[in-house]
Amino acid sequence: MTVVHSDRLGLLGIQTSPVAQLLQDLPEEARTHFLQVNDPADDAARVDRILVLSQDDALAHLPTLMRSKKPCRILLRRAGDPDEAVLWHTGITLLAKALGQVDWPQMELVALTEEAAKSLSSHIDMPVGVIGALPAIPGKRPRVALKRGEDLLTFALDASDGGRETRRASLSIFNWARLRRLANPIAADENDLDLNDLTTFARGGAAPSMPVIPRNTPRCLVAVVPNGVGLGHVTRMMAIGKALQKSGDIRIVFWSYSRAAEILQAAGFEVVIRQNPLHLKAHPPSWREWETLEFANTLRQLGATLISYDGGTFDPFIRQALRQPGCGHIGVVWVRRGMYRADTDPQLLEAEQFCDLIVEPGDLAQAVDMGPTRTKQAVYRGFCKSLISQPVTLKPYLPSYSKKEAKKRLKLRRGRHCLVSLGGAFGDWSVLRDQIEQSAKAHKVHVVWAQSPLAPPPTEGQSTAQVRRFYPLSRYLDAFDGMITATGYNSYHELMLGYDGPVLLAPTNNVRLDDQVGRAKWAGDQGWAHVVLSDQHSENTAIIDRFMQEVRSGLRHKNRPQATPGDDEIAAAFNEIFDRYSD
Amino acid sequence: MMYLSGSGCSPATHPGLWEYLSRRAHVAKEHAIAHKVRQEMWDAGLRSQDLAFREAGHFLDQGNPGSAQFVVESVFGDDPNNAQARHLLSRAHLGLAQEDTGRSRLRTQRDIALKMNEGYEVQTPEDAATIIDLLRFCQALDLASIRNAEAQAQFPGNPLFTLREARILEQQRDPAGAIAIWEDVAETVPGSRTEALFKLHQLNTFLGNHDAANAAAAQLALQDLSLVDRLRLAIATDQRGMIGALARLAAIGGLSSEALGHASGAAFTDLLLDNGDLGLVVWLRRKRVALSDASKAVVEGCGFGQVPTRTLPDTFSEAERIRSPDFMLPLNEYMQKPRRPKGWPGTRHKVERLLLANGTLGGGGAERQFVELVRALLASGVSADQVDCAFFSLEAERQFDRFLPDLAALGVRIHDLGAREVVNRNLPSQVSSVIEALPFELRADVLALWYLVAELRPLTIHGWQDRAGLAAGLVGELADTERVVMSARNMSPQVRADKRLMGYRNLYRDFVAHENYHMTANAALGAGDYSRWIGCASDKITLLQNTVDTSRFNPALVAQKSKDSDERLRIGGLFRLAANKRPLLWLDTIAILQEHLPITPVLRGRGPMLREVTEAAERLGLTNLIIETDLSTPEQLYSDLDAVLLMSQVEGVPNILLEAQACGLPVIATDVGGVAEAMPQRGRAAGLLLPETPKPEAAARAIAEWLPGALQQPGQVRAAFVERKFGAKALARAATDLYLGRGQS
Repeated sequence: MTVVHSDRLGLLGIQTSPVAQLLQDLPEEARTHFLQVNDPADDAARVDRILVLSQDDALAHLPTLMRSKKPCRILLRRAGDPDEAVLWHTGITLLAKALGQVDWPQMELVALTEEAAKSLSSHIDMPVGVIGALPAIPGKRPRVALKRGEDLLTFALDASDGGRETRRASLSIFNWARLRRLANPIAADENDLDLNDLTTFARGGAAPSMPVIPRNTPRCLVAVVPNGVGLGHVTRMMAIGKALQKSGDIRIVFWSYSRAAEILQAAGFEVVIRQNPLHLKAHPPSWREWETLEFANTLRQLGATLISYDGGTFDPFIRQALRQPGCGHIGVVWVRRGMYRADTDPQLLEAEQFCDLIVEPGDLAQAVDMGPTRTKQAVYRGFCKSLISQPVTLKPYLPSYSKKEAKKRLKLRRGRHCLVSLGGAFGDWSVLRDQIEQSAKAHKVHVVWAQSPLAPPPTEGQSTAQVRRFYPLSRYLDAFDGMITATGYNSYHELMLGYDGPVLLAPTNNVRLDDQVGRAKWAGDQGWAHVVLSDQHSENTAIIDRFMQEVRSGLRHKNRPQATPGDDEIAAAFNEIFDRYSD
Repeated sequence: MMYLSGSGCSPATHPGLWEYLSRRAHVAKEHAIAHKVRQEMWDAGLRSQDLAFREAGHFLDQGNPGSAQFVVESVFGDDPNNAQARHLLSRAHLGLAQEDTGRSRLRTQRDIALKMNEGYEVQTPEDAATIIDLLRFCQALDLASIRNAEAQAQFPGNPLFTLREARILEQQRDPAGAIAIWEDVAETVPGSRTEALFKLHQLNTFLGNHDAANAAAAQLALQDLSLVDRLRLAIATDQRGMIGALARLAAIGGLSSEALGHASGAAFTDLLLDNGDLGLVVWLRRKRVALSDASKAVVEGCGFGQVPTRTLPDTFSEAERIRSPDFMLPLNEYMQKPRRPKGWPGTRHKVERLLLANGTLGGGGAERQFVELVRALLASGVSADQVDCAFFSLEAERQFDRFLPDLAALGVRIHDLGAREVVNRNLPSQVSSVIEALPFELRADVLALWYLVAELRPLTIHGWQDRAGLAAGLVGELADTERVVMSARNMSPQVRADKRLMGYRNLYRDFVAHENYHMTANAALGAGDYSRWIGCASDKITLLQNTVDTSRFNPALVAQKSKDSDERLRIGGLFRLAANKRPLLWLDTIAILQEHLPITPVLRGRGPMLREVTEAAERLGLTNLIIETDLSTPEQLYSDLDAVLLMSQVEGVPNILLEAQACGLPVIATDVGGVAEAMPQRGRAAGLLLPETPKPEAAARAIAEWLPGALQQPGQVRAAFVERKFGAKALARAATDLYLGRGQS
């Protein structure tokens, strides 16, 4: 009979060691809260039991461990590097000798496997038990051979075309509880007893199955959104979140550094608002340590089984948090739009190895995508799968207002109205702004400036134009007879797929952003929109005039592409990863 | 002071008043004021004896021994007759030595210590402790021992002198004697229990008494040690995982019962640095743990400082992997040295400016072979004025000079690196950044050798054993020496379980990758073992066989031997009485052999197990065992023997076997290291090869069966074997080829 604990287990030793990570898969520890013990003298009071993760940790803390009076298991490890067997022998003998001199009834020695327990027991002439047995993970997985001191994993993975594909990954980025769901680890060197014990333990199989714990809470996704430029990350992730919620009972919590948190909340999502080191003026490494622990705690408390990240570069705290004990049943989905600039460093792709799934929201301008996500491949791809979905927008989830309703909500009077939305607080639009205002005046079009939630309010007296703050754009499209916008992923796709009025695209040529110019030109070439470029002021006047004429005339475009729903395929892909990590 | 200064009563005009004030301030424990008053008097030229005593005492209490020395010597001279002045001056000298120590061993100046000792009157325990320490830290151990015995008589029961007695015995290479005292201290002096247990662990490890060493370490593990002492335990027992666990604890501020303050933080990081754990020191510094100034300088010098030029570790495990000397490898890249053209330094035609280095000239086989190498080189035509020999220590009181007379007689220059005065201690910054980052033992050796090499600029450095070889390798790189030869004299550190040397595998690997570096071994088995351990091709290690001076060791020596009247066979054991020679197994075997053959066992050698050997012989009833510790000439060693028996656990090619056979004696030895290469396996000259770890009964039986027949063979056949295979000419030719770069790629 398995006794399932639901208490606090203090772990003394390296918290990110494989054994600490694997503990959550032990049936009897399925409900255990894992807490870090640094100094037993201080921390023992906070826990019910202590597990010492190696003989080294026991030797470092022996007197205080004994004084703690807590039930204490000391995990004994066998020799790893055969060249260092002499040193291992010294350590294990030393511990045995010390333990032989004391009466410590609360202490129990354990090993990783039956074989290790027998061997250690005969070595030190003391009883040694087994820490427990992990249930086997069903399903086919690639075999990965591990070698002490080598971080590089090389293995063969079944490719989508039915063939085999050689993949690489860094071992150190994985939580072993996650790794055993992705692969079958084996030790490459039969003389490395400790690694053999560890991989045997990790593969499991001795326990019949995972414990059945009644699930009364929905699956939980934590969506990490960085403090990106504009609202792209947030909007895209909201759209995916809505798609997932449509597909089933899924709790979605945003871990947000974006100032657009209120938008997320308004859309009905839970939000954990975070501050980055820049906001806090903190030393980044110190901030990262705290953020790691906070993020890991949140994941454990929420019982999250998936995190998604919409951004270019994973901050190391995400990886580090997922390596903490109790955070190993969590998959990673990278929502990564395409259309990076051609000169973007392809190194960013190497984060693929950390992911279970990469979802690339489709881009109408994919044909001109020259960025690394299209032209390069990561060297380290790990176990990830890729999905290029249909373009993702919020429009299907937030019904549009009628023209009358939208105008009323925006307090727009009669006449032709053109919305100008030039993105976040980036870019110098002063010349374009003047050109737009003059042309609009000449064509008797009222200009409405959309204020980004991320942008500072316009300076007093800067313009006589009307300013409106609203979000998302898609709900209010019918209020306007024409649109002038930057060409970020969301605006672009909302307009191209959901608006039939005249559109003037004003791409931002910012090195930190995607290839907006490429995207805009593609639309221009297809006849979907007019395009003005920031470095061609003299030509822009005529283009803006033509656009304003179309607005004035109430022109409707019929040649824009039709939206194809892609939410089902995204939800299916996410659910596959949910299944992998759900008990 | 203001009142006095403005009163017109200056020290010059009113010395009594100032004297009175200084005394009153002293009585009132206003030490700063008392010192200020004395300073004014001193400045005014009022340099009385009493003033000097008080000022010197003040300076010593303030940790300023230099000023204390000046004050005392100004008034009493540098050899004071006054007892109190002598005490204060001695304390000042000891303090100065401690100041100079930095990150190396404490060493006092011998001439000063001897001078202070003359007429030194002991009034207090502190007086006695001062002179004892002054003497023992300059290795005047016999005098220190006498002083300590006097102090024990004068202050009976004072643990100060019990502890010193144990330390002196240890220095005098009587670890068993020291152990007996430390065991007592551990039980009876609670304040010194931790220190005693550390000593018991260290000394028992040295003696190969692993059970006793572990018992001491286990008691330490159960003690409430400070974090620094717990780290000492982890380092002493080579437990890397434990070191890591303690460093993680230090990174969060230490134990709840003992927060890591400035002094303990600095002590903790100094220990790590001395152990080669530079990465952990860098990590702890980033976690705001205090570093000593010396450690800060090392961290900065290595590019891990405030403005880093190397990548700082992002994680603890990355930091753990930054270990010295490995993080500096390949050394030439670390030092950003320009690449030498392929083939450099080419070949030379004459052996010039050769520096041979070894640890000591103590009474071991390797040291004897060192002398034989020099003898062979000179005999082959190498000029004595082109040969310098350097030793890390030649201390007579520790018997490190056993072969010094033999070597001196050959006319080469000899340098005792431990006693050598270095005038200019400045190091080029690049050299300093490497040396200062080395682990403690290696650092001391490399530093001492570097100064000599910088002065002599040898074309070739030859390090004779592992310790000297490592230092030679590093110094050769630092000083751009043309050629470096590193000789291994045994099996690899892994086989010998030499934990300290095992950590230098990558350094060896770096050395053998150099075109101008060559490794040698004195046995094919040793060469193969080293090449496997290092991970290099076996041809990277050249065979440099031992040799025997057959003009001194030959059958004529034993022709006129005087046997016991009852014609008992004299079986000799000539080896160091240390664990790796298994003297107790030798005794067990001899005890059983006595039941088969009429023998007289003779043990010739000394070593740390002398006491244990004597006790075991008594236990076994070996009443006829002869133990002789001071014999050294070939006649003394071999002339009265009938056979030689060696039961070692680890060996290279044992000199004893070669010398004994050169003298025509039959030899019996365990099959370890290069033993099998040192004796013929069949034929009339064959020796008896015992299993690696024989049972005494089986060994005795085999010897009893084999020896009578072997004794019937003429000694000349054995001598001929040695002459043929281990002649001096072959050694000289092989060594010269290495020095000149002949036959090397």
